[in-house]
Amino acid sequence: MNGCLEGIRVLELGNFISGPYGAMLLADMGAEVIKIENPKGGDPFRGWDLGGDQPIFWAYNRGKKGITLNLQTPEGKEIFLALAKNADVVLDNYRPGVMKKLGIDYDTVSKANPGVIYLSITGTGPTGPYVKRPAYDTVGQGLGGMLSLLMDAKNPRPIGPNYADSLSGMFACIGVLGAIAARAKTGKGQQVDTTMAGSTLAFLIAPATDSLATGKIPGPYTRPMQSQTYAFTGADGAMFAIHLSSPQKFWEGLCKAAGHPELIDDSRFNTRPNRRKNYNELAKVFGDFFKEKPRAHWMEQLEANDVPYTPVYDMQEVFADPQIKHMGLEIEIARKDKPNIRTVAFPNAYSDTKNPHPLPPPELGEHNAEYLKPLGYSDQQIAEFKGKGII
Amino acid sequence: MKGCLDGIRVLELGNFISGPYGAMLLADMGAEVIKVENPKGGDPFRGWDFGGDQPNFWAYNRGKKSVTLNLQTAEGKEVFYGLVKKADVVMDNYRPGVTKKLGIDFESLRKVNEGIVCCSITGTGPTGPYVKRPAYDTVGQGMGGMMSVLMDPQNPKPVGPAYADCLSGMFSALGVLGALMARNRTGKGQQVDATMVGSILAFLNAPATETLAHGRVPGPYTRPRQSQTYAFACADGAMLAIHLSSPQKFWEGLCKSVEHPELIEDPRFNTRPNRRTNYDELNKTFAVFFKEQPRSVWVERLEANDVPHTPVYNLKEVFDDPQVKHMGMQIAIERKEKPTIRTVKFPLSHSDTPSAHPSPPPELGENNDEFLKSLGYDEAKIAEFKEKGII
Repeated sequence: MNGCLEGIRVLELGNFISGPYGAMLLADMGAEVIKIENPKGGDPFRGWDLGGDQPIFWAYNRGKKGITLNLQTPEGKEIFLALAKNADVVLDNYRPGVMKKLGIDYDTVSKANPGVIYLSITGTGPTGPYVKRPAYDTVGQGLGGMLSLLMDAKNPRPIGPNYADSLSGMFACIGVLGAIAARAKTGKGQQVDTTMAGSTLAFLIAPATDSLATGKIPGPYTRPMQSQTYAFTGADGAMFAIHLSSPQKFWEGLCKAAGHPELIDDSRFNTRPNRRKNYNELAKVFGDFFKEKPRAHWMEQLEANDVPYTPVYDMQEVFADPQIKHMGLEIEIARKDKPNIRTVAFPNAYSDTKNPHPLPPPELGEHNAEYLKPLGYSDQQIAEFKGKGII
Repeated sequence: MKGCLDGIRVLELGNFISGPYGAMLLADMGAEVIKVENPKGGDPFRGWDFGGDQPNFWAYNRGKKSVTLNLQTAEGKEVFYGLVKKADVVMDNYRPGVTKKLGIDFESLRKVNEGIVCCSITGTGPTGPYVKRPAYDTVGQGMGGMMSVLMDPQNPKPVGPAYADCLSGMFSALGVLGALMARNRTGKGQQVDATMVGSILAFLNAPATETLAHGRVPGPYTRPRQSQTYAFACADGAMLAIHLSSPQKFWEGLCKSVEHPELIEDPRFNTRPNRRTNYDELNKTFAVFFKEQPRSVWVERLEANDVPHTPVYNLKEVFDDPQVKHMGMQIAIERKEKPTIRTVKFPLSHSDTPSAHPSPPPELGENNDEFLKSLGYDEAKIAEFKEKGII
């Protein structure tokens, strides 16, 4: 088998990140994903205003086929419904109500194909007071509590990657797989909904559950303090981080690695509750030690003392690390007449049904003929559809 | 059916976050998850040194059963093999090599049950130069590049939740589901490996792919600048955030919301490339406006102008939001003789096979009798096992 999901066909009505990422994870496991884009430029992540052929589009769209369809025309809709008849999954990330308005929602598609699994990613679900609001990543991060764990209230500035988009994409993939498992027993498809706000909150289940239990409000530094995570800068300006967690041996190892075994029994730091209480002081004391020598020196010491540690790699250094090379996490995808794409491998390794090497991301409408011809459309009709802006 | 995975039995050999979270996502979809814990206290997240019954443990262990087993004894291993015969999945997050040493790795277990799917979550995979290093969340975050997009190199301080643990948990759930699909066709189980570092990097696919394409190294503010995300503090001290993304209408809506429509054509900000170039200046300009009124005023105006926006909720406020209430994201799980648990709902809703309301997290060894009896051990034997520390 060419991946776990060989033989599963997915129609993706996705733009930007969440839908494309969710569908790509299915493609990574061997599903045949057909990305359906509007003929006028397609997914905005193709970034025509930035010159087209954007890495951010590659990142979420490798391994897919691509066709164009104007779903607001009767012909475009007809083609979509014909494709949906032979598909296992439809995945969309449009605003709530759009699929229904276009006449291609679950109720419609399932009449022709009762086995279809229809997954919708929205900001906050198909109904409710915010149903008409536009929901981008930040909306999911803010509503779901993520921004409160990343920003300083005195000088708020969003940081980091698009958590809500990517998390809802991952949950979408899980939701589809769950529904396929159910279908194997029931023979029926179903509608599955996931949301950016809900995915973010479900990802933050520990701080949320803690807050609901204790009434204490976590901030950006609460979890690092609880889990005893610290970051330091070596004499060479390179950063590294440690994670002491609960075992006492890691604390002892840290003191030895820093050359200060006398601190093991220091009353400020000698127990986990004390280290939590005096987090800032511990960070300062060891911060001063670690300023004295370069990162490489400290990494050796930390390794020798079995302390969980890591260099803080930037996105370029990551790929030079020997373990990451060993893991094969960087892959290369060749393209015709365009530069090769270097990107990240699907992170799960299967011993039996190995993941296929991904196809390059599709050009806009690259596979129109491939999918329209089996539906009975002639070359002439395909040319006509193209002329009319239907594909 | 009680959820998509009704009838699937999972044995979880998990401690802390990644393994327990991955297995819980399967339980949330209806799988029967048996948490196999050591009899001497079990999962460290039970937090006996903090008095036991910790919200952190509830967060990752609802909906499961618990059996205690000392896997270093011949009898413990025999009981485990007995359970494996009737299980579909074994998940572990031990250090590499531990399951092999215990004789409960995939190669051993497939002899007992040909269909068994084994999923191991490790820091950096089962082999390679770092195979002996302890891998906690921070190690995955640092090596995978997450910390580099969250920390200021001048004053590095870890922030936010346990990304590497939770993401590898999600990828493990996704990995198990893929293998179960494959098994439906091949009839065979397999070994699936998920890693903390690979999961982080796959989540950061966009910045990684961009760096590999053009060599520029992203920092904490790169993505917010690219995606045009801003956060502001309002007159009442409350924070809000906006996400302008690419559509020009959102920029126009923002200018109208703050009653400065003349800025729409301002040459510093009038196009998306200009807004990216002048991110800091735009931020500064609008921060002055937003300080003039309380958050509630701005939320209304941003809504009226259809700008993607969100209040920056902390994890207490989240649950008071009318839309989050409408979504039913907070659930209560009742327990006998212990306080009710309030926590976060599974973020996927399946229309045909909805997730059941979760049972409370299990007490340590709560289900020993149930499962040992089903394997044919009588009460005298079970009492003897307990006495000897085998269960």
